[in-house]
Amino acid sequence: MKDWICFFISAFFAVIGMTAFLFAAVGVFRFDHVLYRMHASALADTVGVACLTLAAVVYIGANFVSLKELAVLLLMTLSSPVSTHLLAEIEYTMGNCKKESRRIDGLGGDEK
Amino acid sequence: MTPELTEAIKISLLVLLIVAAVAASVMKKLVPALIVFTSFSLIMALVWILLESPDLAITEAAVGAGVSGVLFYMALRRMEQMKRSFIEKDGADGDGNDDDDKPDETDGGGENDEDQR
Amino acid sequence: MTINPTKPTGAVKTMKIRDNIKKWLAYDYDLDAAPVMPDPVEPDVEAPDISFWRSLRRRGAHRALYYVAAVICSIILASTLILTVSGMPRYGEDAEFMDTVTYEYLAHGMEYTGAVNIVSGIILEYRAFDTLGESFVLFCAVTCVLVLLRIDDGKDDVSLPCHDLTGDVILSRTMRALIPFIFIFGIYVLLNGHLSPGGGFSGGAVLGAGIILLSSAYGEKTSGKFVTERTFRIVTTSALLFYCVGKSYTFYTGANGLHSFIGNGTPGNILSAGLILPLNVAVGLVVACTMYGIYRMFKERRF
Repeated sequence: MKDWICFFISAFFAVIGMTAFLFAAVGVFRFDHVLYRMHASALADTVGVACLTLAAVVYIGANFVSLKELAVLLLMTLSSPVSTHLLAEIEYTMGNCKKESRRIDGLGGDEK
Repeated sequence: MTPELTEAIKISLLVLLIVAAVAASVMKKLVPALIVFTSFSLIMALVWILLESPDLAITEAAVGAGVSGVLFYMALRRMEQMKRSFIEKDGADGDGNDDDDKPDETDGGGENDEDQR
Repeated sequence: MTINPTKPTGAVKTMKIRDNIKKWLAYDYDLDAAPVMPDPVEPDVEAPDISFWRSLRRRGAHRALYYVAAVICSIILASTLILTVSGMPRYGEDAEFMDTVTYEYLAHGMEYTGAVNIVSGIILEYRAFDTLGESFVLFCAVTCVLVLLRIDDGKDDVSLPCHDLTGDVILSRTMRALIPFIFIFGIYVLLNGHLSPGGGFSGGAVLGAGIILLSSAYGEKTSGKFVTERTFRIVTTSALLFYCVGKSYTFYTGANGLHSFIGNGTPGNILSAGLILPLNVAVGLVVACTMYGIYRMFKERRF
């Protein structure tokens, strides 16, 4: 019975993770502005990686390997949003952002 | 993981490898070509794992997908800086006489391009 | 029939040599300057200004030739390689005629070298000379970069407008948690070359990437505290010297049947497998310094 519970939990997480990756891929293809694409890829990719590694951890069980998987999860959650943040900051500062594409402008700044 | 599934994954990864290699060669702008080259290294690292050589996989992931891309980008920036300093020194550039022999000139940084959106 | 020369693409100043060559070839974009040539004999038929073969070059025919030759060469090279590979035995099969040395390595590798990881045993014991050559190649690469990028003073370099990410809050706070683990992982991979997959090259690449990340997150002052040009020079040269001296000692004692004081130890311990651990450290240091050195030389012209 416990095997079935583990299997269903990991299957649930795996399906959520793959759906998130699907959304990320569709978003990267369909948006036309760079910042929109970055937003889609960062958020959905991080959620997808987290859910998939959780599915793998639950499926394998309490093992040394699953501890390494948790380390992978920690690394991806730390590094992927930070790198996307840096790219977005550079793009905002250096690129020619159109006025219409900045509806919510948290950083403020002059109109370009 | 049945052997057929492993074979199918291996074949699809190899096909992706060829596609990435060809795409990195024929792209006109250099910065997207560099990104495709980095993805080539990543797919190569996966192929090394499927061929049961973890030493090579670790090295390919660390060198190709990490350091090599960064070094290429720094070289592109330096090239762009040198080009701009030559242009400013010599006045208007454009000895277009011998440019028939060269392939298409590309700009190194694509930060300010409108048509990349 | 006359062939009109194509319009020049906006050259304001041409170089002197080009002017001379044009004069010597007796056709000139500048129609006002007279070419320096004796008076030609009046021909019966009106000769063209330029011969047919030279006009091909100006019309870009050599470019098509280049493309055709490139495609043909690629097809020949690719088909040769594919035919060679298809003649070799399949991956995973036993091939007695090709693998005479491989059986020797697999059967006696662990007992002669003492390394659990046979790959490290091969590249640092059986084929240690080739690995020394690889380290020399890395050293030469950095030396060439140092020489080539230091020709000018760097004062008249146009600096591209760039957004400086050195003091970014998110980056520095996050990397404060991540960089120590990167270094620990790099050192772990470096030291475990003879026990698990890893070794000098992988560990050195990870260490180099960690130093690059440190220098771009916290600025050059922080990473300049432990990697300067003097450190780089001392580390690389002493690592290569140590590799040469240590391995020469092992070659000498092994070839002459003498007893060397570097034993093999029990396989599985961290201090075993003879000289593989120190050599891994040497190679890893060279690789890390190479990565960081090339990065710094391309970023600014000093180290």
